[in-house]
Amino acid sequence: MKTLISKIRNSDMLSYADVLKLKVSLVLLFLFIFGVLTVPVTLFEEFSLEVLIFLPTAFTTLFLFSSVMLVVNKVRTAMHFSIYTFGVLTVYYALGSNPLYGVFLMYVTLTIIIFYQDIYTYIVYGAALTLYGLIYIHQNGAQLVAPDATSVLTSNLVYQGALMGFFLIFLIYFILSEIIYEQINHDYKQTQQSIKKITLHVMTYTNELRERENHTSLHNDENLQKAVRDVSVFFASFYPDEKVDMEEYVDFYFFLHHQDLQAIYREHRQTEVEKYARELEKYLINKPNDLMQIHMSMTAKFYQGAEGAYPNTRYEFKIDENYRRKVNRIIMLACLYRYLRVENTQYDRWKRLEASLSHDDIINLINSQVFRSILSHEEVKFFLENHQLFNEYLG
Amino acid sequence: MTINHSVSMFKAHTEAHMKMLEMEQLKRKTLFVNVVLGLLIVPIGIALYNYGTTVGAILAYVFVFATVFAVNGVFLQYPAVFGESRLPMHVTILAVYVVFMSLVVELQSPGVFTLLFVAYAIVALYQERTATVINNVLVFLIGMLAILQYGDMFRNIGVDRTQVIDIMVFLFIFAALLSLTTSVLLKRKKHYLSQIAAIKEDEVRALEIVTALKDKYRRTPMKPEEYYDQVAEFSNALAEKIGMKNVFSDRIILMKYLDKQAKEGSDEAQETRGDTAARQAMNEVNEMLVAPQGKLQHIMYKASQLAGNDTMMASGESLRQFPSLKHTFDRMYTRIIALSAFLVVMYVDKPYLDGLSVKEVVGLLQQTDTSYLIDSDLLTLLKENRDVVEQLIELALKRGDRS
Repeated sequence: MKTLISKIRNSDMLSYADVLKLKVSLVLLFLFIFGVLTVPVTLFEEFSLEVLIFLPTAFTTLFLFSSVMLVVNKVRTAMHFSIYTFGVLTVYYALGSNPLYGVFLMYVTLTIIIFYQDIYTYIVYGAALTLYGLIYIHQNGAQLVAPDATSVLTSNLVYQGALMGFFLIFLIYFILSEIIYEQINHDYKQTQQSIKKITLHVMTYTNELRERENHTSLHNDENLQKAVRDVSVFFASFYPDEKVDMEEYVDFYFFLHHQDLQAIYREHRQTEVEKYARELEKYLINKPNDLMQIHMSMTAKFYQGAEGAYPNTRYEFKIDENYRRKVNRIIMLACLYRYLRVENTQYDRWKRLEASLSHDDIINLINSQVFRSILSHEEVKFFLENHQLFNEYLG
Repeated sequence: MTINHSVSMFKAHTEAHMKMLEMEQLKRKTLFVNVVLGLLIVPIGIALYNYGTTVGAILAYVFVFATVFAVNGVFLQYPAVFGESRLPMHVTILAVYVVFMSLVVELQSPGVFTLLFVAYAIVALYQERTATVINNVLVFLIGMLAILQYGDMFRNIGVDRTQVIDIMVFLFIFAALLSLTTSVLLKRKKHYLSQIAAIKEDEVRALEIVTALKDKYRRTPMKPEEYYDQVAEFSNALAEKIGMKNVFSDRIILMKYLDKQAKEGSDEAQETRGDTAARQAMNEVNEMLVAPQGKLQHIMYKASQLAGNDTMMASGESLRQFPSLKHTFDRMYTRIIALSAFLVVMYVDKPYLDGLSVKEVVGLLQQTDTSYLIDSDLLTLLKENRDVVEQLIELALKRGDRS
């Protein structure tokens, strides 16, 4: 129980699979308590013999099956069966002496489905349950209103409207969550791509500047290699059971920096060499991979660059978001064109950052979808209408 | 500026951005909530009419809805009016429960009682921490109050006194489960927001680094005046083409002047006097300067890197995963090399930043969420042996990378 509570508290750090596992565990725990406390009591109610035998048996079987699936790590199957178990419980109550319990349990079951936070699961099971609920209320309407009620129809419409409304509003809730999540995810992916490219450029400039000062590039620096070897051997001494020789492994790691990795993967397919190379590829220091991106992110935190307050446009790169006046936007567009034409921002054939973009390259770039993060449609249109002037005066 | 200052500025910017993102999301959710409320007006009106409610009472409901729409309308149009407060959200939550509680009290029908769940669903749309707490407390309290005070509505349909307790249990289960759901959801959402805010600040700082490096790398210094002169010529030709007065030239002369002042270290750009509009206009011009490390440099650099990005995005690379030094299937020795290489590369001096000691790196790691970054056992070992590791690196890099 302690572990369960601590997992809920730290659920933001868990992977999607772990969170789902946590949720299924909670639902099964809840089902167990709820079933044990309520089902035996209801056995004394006015159920038919078939219901009394079939439904508690189905409940127990489904519950046990869900638990087994959870234990063998078939978490999604366990999730589906936990919902079926609750469905059986709902039907069991709906067939009991008071239909109001059935209606309330429909809400609880919908809540369980919502709990899993999976839009497709919610649409399929939630809609099925709501439909069952609407039919059920229609058939048992007379028992759900007071005998002296003026209108059974109105009362039933209220029950049905509330159930339908509850389902639809939570559907909106899911759609809203998905929109927000997708937007965050898309933004994250775009930014990560951008950082990856910047990291590569920083590495290129760093190595070029080191070479100008007669230093070798980082991965060829023997002292650096020795430092990595010594620290690795030190850490490895705490893991005497590992079968690999650490010094050899570090040598292999630096050897990979000079190799065509795709050729290695082809030549050594499904061998230990391929496995080790694939593991280490992410951590090579001459590629903008995981290690160098983390390095970039960490040094960025320490970097004392231009300081400034936090304006709302700090992370905004669209010209029209940064510059409100049209005159300013046209000047900025002109500066941008000139920059792209004359500044060396692209790799040349010797993999140096010594190439710039041609007029045609810029037209293609500005026309591309990805450039909408910089220019609006209006600015693109303006550029295309006047591109010859741009070329003539700013090229 | 110290290193600590730099790290704390990073945090301050990240937090400010998170707040802005939350506010943007709140505006969108407010819109959704109001649309739902708008759609509910007609069915509620019909139900009230059918139950024979007086026109005066119906008008009271209309007034509550109108107030909610007015407050939220102001919030959506002029969010600055409310500052950082969540007043419109709280007003809406209160109004939703007032309306639904009034319906329960007025109509006293078990069917109307289930409308409380609808009220709960509407408020849940906010997906916000305080809204969730208020929602759970209110649904439970109002539900209990309705059951205890107006229990007859249940007894009329054959629910006896002990069975009323069952309804309370249902209500409790309902609120408990949904608060658990929302708590998990909110925690994850907050985590995502903090990640996106941090990566945005990473990007801006990476742009600062790369533009500074580019400046160091170029053999001849950048000449902003050449930009201004050419843009001035372009603007003349443009004005002539479209047959209008050159409205750009004054602005370009001002930019050239301010750039020169900035290069000479004058603070004139910061000393702009005048009203807010004048200051904003001046700030905008300051952000237009071609000088290195200005906002425009970042925009131009980022724009240049979008060349060929359409194909990069199509490569199908998995970006859902955060960069890490401990991928799931990595063996321990691979994780060790990853951490060792990382520490050494951090230690080495870079053209844009002096190398960072192991102590400094560990200090930063302690302030960072490292659960997805570094193997926890290795991190513990590193913390316990930071001096040894530092010494090993120092000895190996005897050539004096950290001179």
